[in-house]
Amino acid sequence: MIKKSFLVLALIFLLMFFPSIIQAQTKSLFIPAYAFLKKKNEPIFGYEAGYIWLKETSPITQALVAQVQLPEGAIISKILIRYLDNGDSGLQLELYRRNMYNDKEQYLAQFSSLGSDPSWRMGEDSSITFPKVSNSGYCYYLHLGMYGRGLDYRFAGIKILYVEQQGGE
Amino acid sequence: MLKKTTLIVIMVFLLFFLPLASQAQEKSLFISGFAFYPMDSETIWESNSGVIWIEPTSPKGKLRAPVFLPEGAIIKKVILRYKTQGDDITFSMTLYRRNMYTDVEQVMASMIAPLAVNYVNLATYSIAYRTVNNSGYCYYVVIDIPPSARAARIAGVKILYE
Repeated sequence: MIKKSFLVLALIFLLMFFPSIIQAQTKSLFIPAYAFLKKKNEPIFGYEAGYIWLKETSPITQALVAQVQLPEGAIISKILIRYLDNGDSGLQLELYRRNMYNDKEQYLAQFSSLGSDPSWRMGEDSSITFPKVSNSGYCYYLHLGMYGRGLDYRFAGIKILYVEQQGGE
Repeated sequence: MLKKTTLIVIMVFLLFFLPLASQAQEKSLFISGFAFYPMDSETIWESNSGVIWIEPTSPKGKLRAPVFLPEGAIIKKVILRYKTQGDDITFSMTLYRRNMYTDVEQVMASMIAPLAVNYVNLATYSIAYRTVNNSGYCYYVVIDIPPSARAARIAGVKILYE
């Protein structure tokens, strides 16, 4: 009789905890181009059909930034960048974090576009430094450098893949 | 014997689940300086390394950032990370909510940032309407920098909630 009740309890335990163990699913945060903001007032960006580009009338070499909000304790596994670069490697995207107490900025991931192609492409970086998200100490943001002007250099968004941890940090 | 075992099992269960149930964990939303944007197109501003500032020559000096918190979250604390430059005078930071149906804007928390040569964290626990209600309200932070404080650096706003 004791053995039977132990068995039932073991089963309940398994049913309760097994889903959370196997639930380490990869999730996505998709940040569209329209979420990106200018770093200062000079550059002139164009926004159309979900993508962004630096206009010919703008001063050259400009940047955009975007806030990143991920769940506490999430493990970042990869970044995917949707872009078009028909010039000479005109886009560079970086993911950073900044410490709230010592103001240290650290780089997590980076991607430089490959030029000379008029079609939309997907770039990626899966070598992430400091992949575990800590919102209590850090804020996270993206920095997009645009070194080419005109519609030959377009950016449509970035997807951050992560695995959410049960209970966070 | 069976009763004893059941008791032990119940105790194990309680030991396991009671801490989890009472763990109304404090969470953080950390809005970087890069999430802020001028409220007027005449503003002359710049940002770098997650920090934003208004140029001293700028005719306007207000910055804003949207705040996205989970439904039902209870805001416990608001922290501003900043530093002032030289003899800057103070500036203010306010957390607002705005009703989608009545258009009433309400102040939830407000702080006056004193002079700070190095980066400091200025906090307030004094928060009105602290329970987040996304069905009726949107939330945002406004930083108002007067002309004499225009060079102040804003590194971000952290909101602690449960």
